[in-house]
Amino acid sequence: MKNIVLLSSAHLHADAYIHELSTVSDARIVGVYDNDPARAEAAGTRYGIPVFLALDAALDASDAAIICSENIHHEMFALEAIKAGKHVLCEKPLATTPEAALRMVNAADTAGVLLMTAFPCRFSPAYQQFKQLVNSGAIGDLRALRGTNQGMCPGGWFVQKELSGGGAVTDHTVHVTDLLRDLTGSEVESVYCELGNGLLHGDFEDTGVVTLEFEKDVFATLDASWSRPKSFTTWGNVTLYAVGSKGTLEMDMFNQEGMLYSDIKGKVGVQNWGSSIDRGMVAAFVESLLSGTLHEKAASGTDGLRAVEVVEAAYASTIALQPAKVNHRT
Amino acid sequence: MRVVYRRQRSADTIIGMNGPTLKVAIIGAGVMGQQHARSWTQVPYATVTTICDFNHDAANKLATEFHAVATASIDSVLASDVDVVSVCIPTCFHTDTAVKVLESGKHLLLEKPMALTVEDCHTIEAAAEASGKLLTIGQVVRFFPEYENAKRAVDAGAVGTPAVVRCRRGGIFPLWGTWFHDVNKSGGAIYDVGIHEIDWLLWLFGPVERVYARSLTESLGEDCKQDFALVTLRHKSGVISHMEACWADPVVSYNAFEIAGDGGLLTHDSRNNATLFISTAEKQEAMSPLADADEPYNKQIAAFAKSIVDGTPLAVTGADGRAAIAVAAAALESSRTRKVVTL
Repeated sequence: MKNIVLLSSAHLHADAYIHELSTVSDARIVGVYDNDPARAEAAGTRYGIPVFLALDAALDASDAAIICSENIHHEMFALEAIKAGKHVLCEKPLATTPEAALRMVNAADTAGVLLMTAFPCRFSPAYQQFKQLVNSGAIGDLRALRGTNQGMCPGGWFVQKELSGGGAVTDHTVHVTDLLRDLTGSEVESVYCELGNGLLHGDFEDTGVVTLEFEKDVFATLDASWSRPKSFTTWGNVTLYAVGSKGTLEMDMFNQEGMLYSDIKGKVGVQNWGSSIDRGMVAAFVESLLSGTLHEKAASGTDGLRAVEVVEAAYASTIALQPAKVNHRT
Repeated sequence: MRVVYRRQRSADTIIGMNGPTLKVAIIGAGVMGQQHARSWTQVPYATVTTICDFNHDAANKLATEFHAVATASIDSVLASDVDVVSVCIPTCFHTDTAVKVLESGKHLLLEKPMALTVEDCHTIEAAAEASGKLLTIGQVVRFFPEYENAKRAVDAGAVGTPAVVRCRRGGIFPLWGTWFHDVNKSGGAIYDVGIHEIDWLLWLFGPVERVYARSLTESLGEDCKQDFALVTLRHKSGVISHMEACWADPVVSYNAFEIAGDGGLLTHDSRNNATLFISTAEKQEAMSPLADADEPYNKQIAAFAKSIVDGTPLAVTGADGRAAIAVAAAALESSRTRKVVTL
């Protein structure tokens, strides 16, 4: 039995991770610690778990930590957990700068603990089959890709750059970038991004259209915009379209859904009945804890770092107004 | 550059006269030429009198269908008394033919893309200006009801101020023509299908400031009949557009767009618009029929005919054709150089 502590529930994904952990037999959640005591209390009540008032005590009680803090605090929580010899599953983006992400990766390596980045899309059955089809040559040689991870603006700390590190490009570039790296087995060489704030008119970007050039001879674009309005039927999407030399392949990851037209809520919404990607990821984390090595489908700390480097290059390109080389740290 | 045309006669007078008064020639009896011929016959006061194609069989076949004269000679069309010519030939031949048609004193409907270079577009526009004849470009997507509706909705503020736009035009590789795989003749997918999206984007969101594009066009050729382009446009208005031009889906394809603004999101996906679906052992097919008068090609040609007879301003001008080519050329250059191209 592995004991896992939740370090902050600032990120709304904490709800899903805690719920899915409750379905995994080899792990239990021992409690929550948060840099915001009121949020810790609320999470303790919501999940029915103990609240730790000190980080030391929280880490002492656990084998591993799941970090769902504001992006800016990922590094602090991760370094503390790693220092205490605990394995870490960290919400994406791994950090707000590549340097911070690299410090996390190096610390975990030195301490000999696992650092996993929360990229649950890798565990989508649709993505797994997409990858299997591409690798089997079903559409011939992979030539170009088009992806989207459009969503509603989550608001709150996500739009406070001092806590999030950036807007939509920070929040939504990393998932599809990670899938494309995993799919192509290749690193991103250069990035071009157009971004703006035309949807919400805040001091953060809410639109972002990113072009990626891979070291392998493949290019891709991804749309990271928070372009689903409040009246939209669901939170957003993850889609991929691949052009191969023999055909095309298209994925709409969360399209397994029914429509609910509710007079009770006065709203049209979707009822998703697909396999939970969070369950797959959380189960893989627990398996990794049991085996001592990272699950084959899981994203490592280095995978998290590589995605953060792409975000950095995306922003750099908006200043140069030309594609920016990705600076890969080692 | 816009030319003002004066007409003495109104369409009503002409329609009231005995027999058709607009004689039409089609140059190029391929897929688009056939489409134009069909749509011209829907205009009550027009008749297709001549079909011209260097391929005699193609010309004869179409001429027979429309009770027209077949010819292999463009010169004979130029020398004839036709009033208007639809030019539906490979893009690389557009400029020479367009200039000749206009110089011979005939109105011209030139299939898209207008030409391969902005310079050629200027040449064609100058010929139109010198002749006083009307020039329009077959940027027909403006006449597609779903795209027209988007224009009306955006102009009416339905999505608030637009911020980020996506559109895709998909198709199988046009194996019916032997010239499409030669980028020097067709311009590839960006020119041949992307031009529609570019025109529509310019129509809705205004001029473009800069372009970044990646495409498979470089490898297009006899042995690689596949093209795919992803183009990001930054409009002067600040709107970001992502345009996809696809010649890669092997059997069926689709078109789609979405416009996100600060007040809402408008979406379209042609896969969701079937009003009919037939399923038998032989075929499964989704259909989305429109009334004849609402068919985009019919509307395009009806609008041009009306401009000719009563001076209604053209729906698509030579300048519109050139503006689209300027963006397409920038996209192709960006894809080749892997640099952002500022217009």
